[in-house]
Amino acid sequence: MENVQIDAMNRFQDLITRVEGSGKQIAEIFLFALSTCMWCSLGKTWLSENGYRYAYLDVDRIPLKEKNRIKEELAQITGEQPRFPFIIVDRKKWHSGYEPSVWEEMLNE
Amino acid sequence: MSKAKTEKEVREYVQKIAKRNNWKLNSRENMLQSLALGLVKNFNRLGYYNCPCRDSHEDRLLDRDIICPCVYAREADVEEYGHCYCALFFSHDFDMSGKISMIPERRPAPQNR
Repeated sequence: MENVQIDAMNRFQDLITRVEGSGKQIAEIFLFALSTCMWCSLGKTWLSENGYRYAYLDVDRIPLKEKNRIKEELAQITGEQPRFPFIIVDRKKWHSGYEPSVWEEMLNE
Repeated sequence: MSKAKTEKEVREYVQKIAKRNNWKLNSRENMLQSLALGLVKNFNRLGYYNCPCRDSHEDRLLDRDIICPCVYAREADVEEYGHCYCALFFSHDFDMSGKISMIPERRPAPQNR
């Protein structure tokens, strides 16, 4: 499995929000989200309620040019239009969109 | 830039859209509020009702297909899935007591629009 390389996960540190978890989770969870999106809110809530530690970047809060670059990178990974929230686990596994049953499976593998 | 919208105005707007298209609104208040606030934020930032669940190009012309109610809701999604991409608008026969899930993105890639 190839690593998911998206520069924005290392840049925009001041815009990345880190949410603490309550479990002994080892996996790194990163979400690309929109601040206006209900599915993104549900996704963040689902992770928090299940005790996961995660970080997220609301892409609608970053400059247009940089944002478009992220969307292009996500589209390259998926081969189609990315859906938000876009979850990346351990920089290897990803899923486009909020589907808790899929997320659960990814996080328990 | 257009005059800023309030949550109340946005709720009135989506109610009007639902009525006009013979749809119903999401009856789960937490979801409806989240969507209404997303639309308020988008309108007040961009000057148009960009879909709150899709990212904007920050250009009305490029975003014209996803200005709420989006083309995809009107042409196919509500009929096929029972609700729009955001789960704001529903067909009247959709059972709101059941599961509400994200649907596939029908919007083509930018180069194919």
